[in-house]
Amino acid sequence: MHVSLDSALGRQRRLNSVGESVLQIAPSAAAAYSLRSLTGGDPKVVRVRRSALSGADNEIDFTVSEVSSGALTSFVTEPVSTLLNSAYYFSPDSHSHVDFDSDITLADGETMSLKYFFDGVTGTDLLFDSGGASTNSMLITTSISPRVRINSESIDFGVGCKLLINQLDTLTMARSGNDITITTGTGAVTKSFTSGAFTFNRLGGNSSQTFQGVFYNLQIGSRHNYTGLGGAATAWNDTVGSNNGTPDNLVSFTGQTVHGFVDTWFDQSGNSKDAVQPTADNQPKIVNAGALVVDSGIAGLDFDGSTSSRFLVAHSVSDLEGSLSMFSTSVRDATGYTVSLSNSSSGVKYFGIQEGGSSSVANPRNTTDVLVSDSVSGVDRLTFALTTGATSTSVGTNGSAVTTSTSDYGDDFDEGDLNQIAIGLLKTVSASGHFNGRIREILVYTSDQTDNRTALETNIAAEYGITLS
Amino acid sequence: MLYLIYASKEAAIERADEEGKEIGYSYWIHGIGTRWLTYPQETADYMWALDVTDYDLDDSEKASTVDHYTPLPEED
Repeated sequence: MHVSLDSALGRQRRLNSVGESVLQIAPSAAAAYSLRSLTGGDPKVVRVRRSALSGADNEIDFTVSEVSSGALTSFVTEPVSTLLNSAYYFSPDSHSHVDFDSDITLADGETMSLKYFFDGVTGTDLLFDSGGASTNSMLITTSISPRVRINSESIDFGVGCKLLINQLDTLTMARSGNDITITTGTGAVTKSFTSGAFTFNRLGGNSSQTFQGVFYNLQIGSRHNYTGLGGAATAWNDTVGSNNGTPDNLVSFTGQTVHGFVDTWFDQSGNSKDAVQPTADNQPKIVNAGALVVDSGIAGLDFDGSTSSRFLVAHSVSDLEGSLSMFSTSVRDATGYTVSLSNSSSGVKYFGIQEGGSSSVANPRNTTDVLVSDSVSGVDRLTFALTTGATSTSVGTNGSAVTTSTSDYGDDFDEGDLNQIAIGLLKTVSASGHFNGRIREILVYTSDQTDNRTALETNIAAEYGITLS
Repeated sequence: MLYLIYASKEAAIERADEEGKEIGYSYWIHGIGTRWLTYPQETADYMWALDVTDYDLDDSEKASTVDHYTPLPEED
């Protein structure tokens, strides 16, 4: 059996050996989450749901190598891959639109069609118009369904032909006399007008009711055709007739509305304490606007605590008692908790790490809140928190010597006081303390890891470019 | 934001399940993964509020929505 000199001398390990993984340095983790390998192999690290839908398999697992190779990002953008850097994104921020040289009026017996991809409306948005919502126009209402105005007559087509969100689809509008039929992937609805002469000269709406999304392949009968593809100013030229479209403020589509969300952050410790989030609106992002979420080129999970409540939880974790150690690696935007050992049915028992503006804080509570702070500057954080009992809590960030408090947080944590690992917030009962930033790695030990701290932090700091003090 | 208020958590989850199935989340196809779009939160008067802003609501539900609720206060 190999015994290191440090160990033989009863000293803290100073360095990790070359090539040694985190779980070889300190193998007894209760749970370990990262996008890199903590084991030395190529483990499964995340299960990802993509926002753009295609078929039934919109959620799959990825290994470390699949994250770094781009396979994960490709999965997320795959449903719109043919449109990337070819089609145009109509952005409400810049009022993107296309103006046609002259009015286009749908003739009796004619059908027009438009392919689209979008992720929702911001209000009641104009899609086609000839001078605003109060003139001839097609609006998409807040229920994602069309409303058509011809002269002074405005008719809602209802949800029977609502547009599909996050899916490639085609909207068609057919005129038969004074009847207008709108068809989408949802279905077809026909409405009768006093006059069926729908007219427009703009796609994309006006400055206050801009439609957001990707549009292409606009066809009006056999008279006009616009590919909207190819990424050139001529993409909206009429390839059949001579009524060209002039684009204004169009943005190349690079996946602005395409995101990937983490349903599961797999535990690499071998204890199968995977951190999960079955609610879509609460899942952290891993792909944003078609690109992997990174800081300085290093991937992380985005917990946007400012506008949402994103978090993951490993449920039914036993033995969270006695001495507890946590290592949290993150990039903060605002104050919040990166990790917390907490209770699934109580909001007053926890041991969390909070990343503040100029300090990192260990926050245990069994019956009384205790806050132990370590001063730190910058947004890149590698924080070690430790409690060895109700009157001993320590915290140290980016390699600094720990600050220790003897304040009493009540009783020592005993079996059942803490039964879950929450990532991205303090507690799940009366949920609070949501983190705003990227979390890169979380390690949890049900033991005092002071002796392994230097070796572990040396490994982590090297991976994430963190300067240790 | 739009919310529907339910007397029980189970009733709110039942509605969340219905929407999750309609969307076609992985849980309802493969038995694992994403199950809900939103999850109910307890209110100050011990009811359950479900964020239905992006739900496909019927007319009866539309008429019952509220635009805010008071969450359950934090424990001391």
